[in-house]
Amino acid sequence: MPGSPLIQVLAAAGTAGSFLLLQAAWRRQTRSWPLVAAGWGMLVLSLTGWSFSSGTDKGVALGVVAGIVIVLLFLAAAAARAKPRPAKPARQRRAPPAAASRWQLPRRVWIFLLAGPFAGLAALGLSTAAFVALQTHLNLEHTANLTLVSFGFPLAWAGLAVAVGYQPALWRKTAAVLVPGLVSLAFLWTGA
Amino acid sequence: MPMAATGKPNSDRVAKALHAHQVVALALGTLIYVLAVTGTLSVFNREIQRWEQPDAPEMTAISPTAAAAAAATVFESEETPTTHLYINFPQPDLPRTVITTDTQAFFANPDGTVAGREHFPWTQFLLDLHYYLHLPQILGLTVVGALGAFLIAMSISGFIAHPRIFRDAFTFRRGAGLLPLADLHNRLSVWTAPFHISNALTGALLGLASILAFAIAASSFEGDTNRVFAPVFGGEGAPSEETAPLANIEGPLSYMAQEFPQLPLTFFILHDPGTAGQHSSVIAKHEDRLIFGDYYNFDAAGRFEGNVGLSDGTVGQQIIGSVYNVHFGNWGGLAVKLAYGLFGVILCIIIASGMRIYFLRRQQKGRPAPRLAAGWEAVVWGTPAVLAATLLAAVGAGLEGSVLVATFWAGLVLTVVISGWTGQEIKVRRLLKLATALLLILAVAVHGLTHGTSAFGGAAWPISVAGISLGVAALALLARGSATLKTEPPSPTLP
Repeated sequence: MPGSPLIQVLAAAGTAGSFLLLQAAWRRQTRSWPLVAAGWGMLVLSLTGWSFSSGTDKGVALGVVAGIVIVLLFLAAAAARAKPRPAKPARQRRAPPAAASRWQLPRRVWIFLLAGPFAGLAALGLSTAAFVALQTHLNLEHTANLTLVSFGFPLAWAGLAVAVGYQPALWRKTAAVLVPGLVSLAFLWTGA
Repeated sequence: MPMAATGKPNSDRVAKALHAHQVVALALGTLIYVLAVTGTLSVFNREIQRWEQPDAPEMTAISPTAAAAAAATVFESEETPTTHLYINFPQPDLPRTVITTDTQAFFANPDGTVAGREHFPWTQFLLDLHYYLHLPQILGLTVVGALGAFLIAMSISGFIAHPRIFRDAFTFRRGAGLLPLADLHNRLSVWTAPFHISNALTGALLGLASILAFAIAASSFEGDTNRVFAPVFGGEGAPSEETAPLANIEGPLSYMAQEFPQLPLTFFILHDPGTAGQHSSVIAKHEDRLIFGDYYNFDAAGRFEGNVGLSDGTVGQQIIGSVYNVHFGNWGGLAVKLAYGLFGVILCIIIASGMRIYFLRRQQKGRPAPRLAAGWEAVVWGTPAVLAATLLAAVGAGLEGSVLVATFWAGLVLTVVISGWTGQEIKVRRLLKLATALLLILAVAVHGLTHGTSAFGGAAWPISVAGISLGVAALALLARGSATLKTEPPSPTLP
């Protein structure tokens, strides 16, 4: 791990301190905003410290990795302190067999198609339309535009997949994918 | 799969988010888990490469003259013209010089002579599994990228379904049953989120880049995908059929050593070698950056033409140039690799425990699914067990390529089907843990017998020791688990 070891040690201490403060804040019965703010503030400060330990991007990334390792140590300590709980006897419940519906399998296949390939196509359409719009209407520089849509595409797909799972009614699930997909297609088709 | 706090405000939102979380997990949990396991191992792919071929010549550096001589020798040995000629320079985690063409790869000695062929069939099998799931390239990349998007979807829905995310941030109950399992799943999910979200996002970006480029090219660049990426990575130049003497290779390497001595070289690429259109690029690493490096371009005569700008160009170039390293964890030396390995194992635990929570909740609701639960255990422990079996097959019987691929997928499917048929979740788990440990130890032992002292030499000892340690640790845990089972009354719920 190249970089300045002294700054890294100080930044790691700051990270650990921030987790101590946050732990204290979240364990209280009543919320203590000063403590919460101090914890988050110290975390931001420690990440700033990490950014000086190497290049800005790499330093912050090192800080995030170190932060996760430190918090995992906190969790390990919490797990070690916790008394093992005996398992509660399982409730001997027997649910009535679910009513078999001949639409269950087609419904599940449709939901899979919606969250999978259809949401993917809709996300691809949205990302491509966003690229064209940012290029033609905002004249955004190419690499910035490409970076935005490259990150936007998987995020849009993930968001649409969540929307499909989140909506209870099948028509809402379908609309959640088809509407953005068709709108982006119309945009690309008309070149609006 | 976070637990919903029933009867609390927003319980409708939580229930819907949990449903979304569950839909994705049930549909694609197996493939996401396989990617998590292979991704964790892939962090150490260079170390495993060295282990597979421990006798290859190693060096910390190679002179421009020697590297150029080795490259020219390999180029002259080509029967069909190669479109690219590469020199992979020695790195701290892979201190070897390799000359690669479209069809073959050879090690170079420090004096510039060519040594044996590069051959690491199991590492290649592992990387192909992680990159493509062994599907044809673009299709495989897209499917893997899509699975990355679904992992992000699981993170989003998991966070929405977690109403006490801060208050519970350090709560960790131990023991058997649903609550400790939910604590394990939720705490690890929340605190390692910066890793698994960034990793899923960068993986999805890498996987989906091809189809996005096709779509953007079709809409904005008359179908020319080169114009999509050229402003980021530089263009390829027009190929020429006309033959020409091999371009100057030593010149660019000497120039880099003289003008940029602080930048370690990772690759030399000669495009269209031996033709009138040939030109070269040197990829140099910037130690204090996340980017994989920057391209320094030269013409056929070895004259410097400038760098592409991944290190000092637009913000977009610098961000895209960082994606690969952020995903694979090879930007901060061994410490960061070990951290990525740990986080990868934790991601596997998160996925495995999420599905266990689902089966446990079904059981508690009076709708147990023992066959599915046993099948899931076969995925969780069958994946490492079958991977260890393929490793043994590769080092012991010399199997490679499509035979390893068939062994893995057939082995995993059979394991899942047979385990599901038995419906014996706990037995399946114990048996497959035992199989993983024994096969791993056996693979390392066979590797040791095959390679003699080299198996514990500088190139191979980390993986040999890690393999045996992991195998022995798994056996010890298994023995401890069976002692606990003997002394405690059987748990009424899942352990």
